Amino acid sequence: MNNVASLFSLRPRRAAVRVIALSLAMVLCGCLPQGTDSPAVQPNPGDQPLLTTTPSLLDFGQVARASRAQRKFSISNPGNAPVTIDNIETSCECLNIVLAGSTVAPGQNTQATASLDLNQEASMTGRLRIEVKGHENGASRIAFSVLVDVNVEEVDNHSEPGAKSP
Amino acid sequence: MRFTRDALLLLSIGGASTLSALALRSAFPSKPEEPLVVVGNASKNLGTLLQDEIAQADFVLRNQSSRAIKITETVRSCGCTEPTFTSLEVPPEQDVVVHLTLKTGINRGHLVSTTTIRYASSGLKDFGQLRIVLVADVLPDYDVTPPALTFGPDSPTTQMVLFKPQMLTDLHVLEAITSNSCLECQISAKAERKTYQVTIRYRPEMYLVDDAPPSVFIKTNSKRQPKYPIPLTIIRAGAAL
Repeated sequence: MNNVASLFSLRPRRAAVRVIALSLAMVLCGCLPQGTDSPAVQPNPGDQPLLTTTPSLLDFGQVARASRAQRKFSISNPGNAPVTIDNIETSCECLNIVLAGSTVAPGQNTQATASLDLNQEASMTGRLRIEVKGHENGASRIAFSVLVDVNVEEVDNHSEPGAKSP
Repeated sequence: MRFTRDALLLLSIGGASTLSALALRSAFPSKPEEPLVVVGNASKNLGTLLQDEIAQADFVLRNQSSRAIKITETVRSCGCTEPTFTSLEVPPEQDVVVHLTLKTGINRGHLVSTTTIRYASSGLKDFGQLRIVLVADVLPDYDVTPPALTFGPDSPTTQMVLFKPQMLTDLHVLEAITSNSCLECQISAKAERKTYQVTIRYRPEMYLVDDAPPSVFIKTNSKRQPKYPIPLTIIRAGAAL
């Protein structure tokens, strides 16, 4: 404290400015976001789908185990260039997408059918959210994306001892 | 006298700094901590697997809040993954283990399976959720080129699909089954490397307006993928483009 007092007595204004600046710097450092999130990533224009789907979330509701179901949705092109879908990937092999047309002209739309076949995973029950992405030019640009929700009905409740499922 | 004045000055600076800090913190709040977190990496790579293979991985979840958490629901991106928990109730500061079983089944190539775990706590207005991911590369028993076909007014009515052995060296393509007479299939084998060619002919005049979308299944001697459904897109003449 003696040092501070002597500092003030010698150059009071400069010392006060230093102390204030130091305090503000400490305050600002303490207020920086403390999360450990990954660094901000600039959105890639290629990640934005070129086409819009209606609805954007296709809800199959409750379906029976090992059953089949179908839903239709529409894919429209709000842009000013035609888009050709040449590859569709889904996060579940149980879902297949069939398009009425693979090229969507500007301002036009095409119908799509989502076919769910749970026979391949006949024991599966519970909730699924299947991600579907259609690509233009191989896998380089996303033409459309749609989410598919399915609730596969529980028929019986076999579970191993000690293992729990919600 | 001067000492007292300096002390007062320092005190006032300290008070002002504290008030500024409080004001700035309320203006730019830091992200609140999630009650339930994955200990370690939330994504695990299971490496290279075969079709119809089973692989397993464990994830540890920690309740870092002061309230009990109840796991209420899981949502999967793929039916290939089955989660089980050592407990659905997680006391404060305690861990629970999620055991994921991945069955590759008929999956091919790069496989990403996401499991979203939803939970409830008295400290949360809505449910909370976190995601864990399994990644694997599945080597198929046989390669299919191209993997899907499109028939329509602007595409050839006869197209071919090649089946080449990959992990199954003694591949045999046994039969092609179509659901509609608008599709005809013919199987031919090439001696070299046991490659099979399936020729599919589309007859649009046989595809009636009320018909369900046709399908083609190729039967093989593979035990891991005995049936390959060829994904088809059939565009009718006059359909909206």
